[in-house]
Amino acid sequence: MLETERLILRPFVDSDREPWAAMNADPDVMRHFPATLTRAEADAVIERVNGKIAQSGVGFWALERKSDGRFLGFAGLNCIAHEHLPIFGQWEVGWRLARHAWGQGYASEAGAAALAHGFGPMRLPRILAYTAATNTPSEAVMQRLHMLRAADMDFDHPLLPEGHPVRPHIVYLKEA
Amino acid sequence: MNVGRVLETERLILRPWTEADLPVLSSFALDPVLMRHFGKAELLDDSRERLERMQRFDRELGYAFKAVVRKADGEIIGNCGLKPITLAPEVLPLARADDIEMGWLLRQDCWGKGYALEAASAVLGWGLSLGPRVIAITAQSNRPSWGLMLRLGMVHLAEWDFDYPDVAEGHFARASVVYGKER
Repeated sequence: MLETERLILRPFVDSDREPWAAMNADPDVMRHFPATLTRAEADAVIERVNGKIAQSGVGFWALERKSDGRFLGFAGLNCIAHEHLPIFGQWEVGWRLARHAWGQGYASEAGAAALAHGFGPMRLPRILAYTAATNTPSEAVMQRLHMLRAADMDFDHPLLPEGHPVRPHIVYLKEA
Repeated sequence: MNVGRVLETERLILRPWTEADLPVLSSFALDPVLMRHFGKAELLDDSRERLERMQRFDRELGYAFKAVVRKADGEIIGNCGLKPITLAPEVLPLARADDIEMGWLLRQDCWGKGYALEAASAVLGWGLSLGPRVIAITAQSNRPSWGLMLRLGMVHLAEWDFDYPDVAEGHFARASVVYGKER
C-alpha cells in the first residue's frame, strides 16, 4: 500500500469490481487497446493483480481518492511476464484510469509514487513504461515522470496484425 | 541471538536477509526471467514466508541463503547460500540427512560479470566446512547454472536426476539435474 497527497494505492476490494468493470468496458478508456474487457476478463485482472500484491507486496494497486473514497483506476509496478514481448522480464510502471479521473494529474501522482517505491525499497535498477504509439495522454504522463523515450526499444505488438492501429508501441525508460 | 554468518569475497558481501530487504526479495520473485528456470511464470512462493524461512534456517541451523551485496554500491544483487534438503525423500532417495544444498540467483543486469561464481565459490567452501557433501539442483535446460556447478568442481550425480514434482509435465524446467561435491 502506498499513499500520495490525494490518493491511496491499495489492493482491490469487492466494491471496486463494478467501477473497474465499467471503465474496462468503456471504449474511450480502452481505445488504445485491442479490445474492451468483459466483466469476467476485468474480474480476472483483479484476481491476478491482487494475488501478486498478496504474495509480494507490490503490483498494480487500485487507486482510491482520499477526499471521497472514490475508485479511480489502477497504477503500479509489474515485471512483464508476456514472453512474446521483447520487453519480457523488464519492470514497468503503468496506470489506467476511469474517464472521470482524467486530466487531474492522478496518473502522474500515482506513477511517481510507484517509481519511488521501485527505485527506493525495491532497489530496481531501471523501470520502463510502454503504451500504444497512439496513446499520447499516457506518453505525456511518462514525460511528466521524467522518463526518457527509448526508441530503440519500441516494438510492434506481436499478437496484433500488421496495419492494426494499436500495433506500434513506444517505450520510455528511467534509470535509478 | 545467532544473527547469521557473513561471508566476504573480493567484490561481494553475503549477509543475512533482513525485514527491510523484503521489497528486494519480492522483486526477484516477481521476475519471470529469473523464475522460469524454476518452472514458474513468477512467484515461487510468498516472499515474506521465504524471508522468514531463511532467517529461521540461519537461527536454527547456522546456515541459510544470504543477500548478495555488491560492495561497490551496496546494492543487493542476488540471493545465494545454503539450505537443508527440503525436497521429499521419494524425489531425492539418495540424499543423506547431512547433505546441504546450495543455490544462487542474480539480478538480470548483474549476469555475465562473474558474481555468481564469486558468491557460489565462497558458499561452497562454507558448506563443505559444515558438512561432508554439498549438492546443487537446477533445471536441465538451465545450462548457465549447471555450467557454473561444473566450474565449481561439482560433479553430475546423474543417478539423482529427477522430474520436479510441482512443475507441469512438458514444461522445459521440469527435468532437473543434481550436482555434488564431497569434502
